[in-house]
Amino acid sequence: MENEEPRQVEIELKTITHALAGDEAALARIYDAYARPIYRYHYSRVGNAPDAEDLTSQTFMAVLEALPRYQHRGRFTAWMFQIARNKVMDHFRKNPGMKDVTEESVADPLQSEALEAIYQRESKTHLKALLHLLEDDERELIRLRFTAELSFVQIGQLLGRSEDAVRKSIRRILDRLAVQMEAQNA
Amino acid sequence: MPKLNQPSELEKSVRDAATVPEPDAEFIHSLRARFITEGHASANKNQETFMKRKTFSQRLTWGLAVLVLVTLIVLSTQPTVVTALKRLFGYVPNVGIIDQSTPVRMLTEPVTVTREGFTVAVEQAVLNDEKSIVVYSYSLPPDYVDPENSVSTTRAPFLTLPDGTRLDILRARHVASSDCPQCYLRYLMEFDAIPADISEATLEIPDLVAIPDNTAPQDWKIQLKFKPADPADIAPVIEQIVTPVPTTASTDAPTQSVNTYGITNGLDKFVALPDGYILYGHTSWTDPIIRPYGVSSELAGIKDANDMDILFDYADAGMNSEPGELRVYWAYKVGTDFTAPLTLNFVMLASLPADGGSFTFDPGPDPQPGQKWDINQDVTVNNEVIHVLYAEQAGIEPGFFLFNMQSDSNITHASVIDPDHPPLGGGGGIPSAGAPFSSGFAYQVPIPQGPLTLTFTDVQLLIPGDWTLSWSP
Repeated sequence: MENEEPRQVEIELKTITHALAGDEAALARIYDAYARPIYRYHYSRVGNAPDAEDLTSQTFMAVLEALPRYQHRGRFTAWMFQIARNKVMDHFRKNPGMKDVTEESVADPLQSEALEAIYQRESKTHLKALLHLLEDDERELIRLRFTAELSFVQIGQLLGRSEDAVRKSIRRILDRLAVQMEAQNA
Repeated sequence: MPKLNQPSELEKSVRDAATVPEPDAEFIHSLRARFITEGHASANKNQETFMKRKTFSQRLTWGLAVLVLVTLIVLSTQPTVVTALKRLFGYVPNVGIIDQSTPVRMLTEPVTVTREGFTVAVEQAVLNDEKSIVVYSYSLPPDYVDPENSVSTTRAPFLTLPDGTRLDILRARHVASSDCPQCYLRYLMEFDAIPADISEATLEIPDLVAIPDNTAPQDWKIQLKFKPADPADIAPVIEQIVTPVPTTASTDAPTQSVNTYGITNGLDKFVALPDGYILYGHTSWTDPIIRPYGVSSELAGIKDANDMDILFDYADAGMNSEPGELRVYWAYKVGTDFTAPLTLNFVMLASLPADGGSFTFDPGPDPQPGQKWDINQDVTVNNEVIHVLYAEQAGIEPGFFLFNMQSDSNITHASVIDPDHPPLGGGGGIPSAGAPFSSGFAYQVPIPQGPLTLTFTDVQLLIPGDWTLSWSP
């Protein structure tokens, strides 16, 4: 379907061991590999930079605290993103008035006259609207694959599913989006 | 509007629609500095148990230290001196080096508790006047499966004394459990000292570490009893004696000194175990151009007196550098099947900032994964020439380029960056003098239009010299 190579390079056990020992180069490698993808993931959930920055900071501090308990099975990326997801869940639990940005109501693109004009000029807005209308777990797959740029294997490790199941789920979502886009364009 | 009936076009569109703003550069850089600083500090805190050598020296005044040293020089040929040194520090498996200068107590016996198929084993406890160390491991039921989307909220263990006093955990870390195949995790915890007149305590484990919530029994309470340590349970630690007068003591292993960057490599102490020895040493340097943790001393091989290759394994050095200290610690374990003395051959690698040097590269309008570009530029970096051979989009992720290089000098690796385009990430490198090496990083997509200028930021040097240490038990 597309490039099968992992978007995120898995961190080696040696790097983790050195990071645990306080090796600054190893700590830097871990940070450089995950800072932006985790920030992007948080931003995709909360929709604003200050909260995304706060969650990213919390995530990395939690990583430092949890790193001594990490058991390496080649799933470091999934482990990092599990911490990130936990932080987001904590964020929404502590701030019940806030909503996951992807849960905000979006005007039905097929009925909004204002959006109709936009859709004629900009398919991206239409596609964004369709993404908003996905189920929670489908939106999460899209976030992890296209915003955080995780591989199918890493997403599977994170969500406890097989690589094949993840690949097929994303394929089905994309096929449905394609049909919806073409139906709108017809 | 273009038809989105081709997966690659739709995926590009979805990726584009799923794109969010990049983080503020200042935020990324400041968090990076904080992560590294706090990670480094956290490692130092967790390793304090093993800094007894430093603690020991801090206890002595300089006058007393000199007196001790002179006494040692005078008595160094006496076997009783070596015996006395052995008694100051000891080694306990899965705990590490302990201070025996105050009375040591240990568990009367290990304690094992099983609930609902989960087994917790308190394997060891070491108590002295400064702290209490407890090591426990646990195993899972054979049919245990991690639930999907699980959350693990671990409440910290603590000790409860008979009078109700609660000792909270001070530090904790994961300990290797390769000798226990059924163990899911082995955990070492430090608490405040337990008074000498108290010989029992309750270890309370509210949650098993790293186990998802509501999937294992909680609130474990395990009764522990302590007794004076049996000397047979503590392996001797042989400290290295550094004196200006050569001695005939068998523990005297020479320390190599090389003038390059002031790097020295030395053996500090060793532990004798039933199944082998753990050798502890350090590498230090004086030239501040090499930053902390900038030197990597790798043990390339060990030969014995019969020129036989001796197997070795990495061991926990038990010590970390102080912030800003130009010193790193190492430890290796060998077995008992060898003919002394052993010769340890090290390879010394040092990372230094590059003093500049850049080259240009144009990936063209539509670079493809796997595509290669000849560069063939010679760049002078730190007074040495690096031949930049070719670039390739390595296919690990869009925009990830590997730059393949080679140098006839002792440069074994070099890092590059495009200062005009912040990278997505970096990687690559093969340390070996004269051999080609690669360095790379990922451009954020879309890949910027060329020509692009890549600048060297760091170089790694293979430090020449005879980095050989000799040791006999």
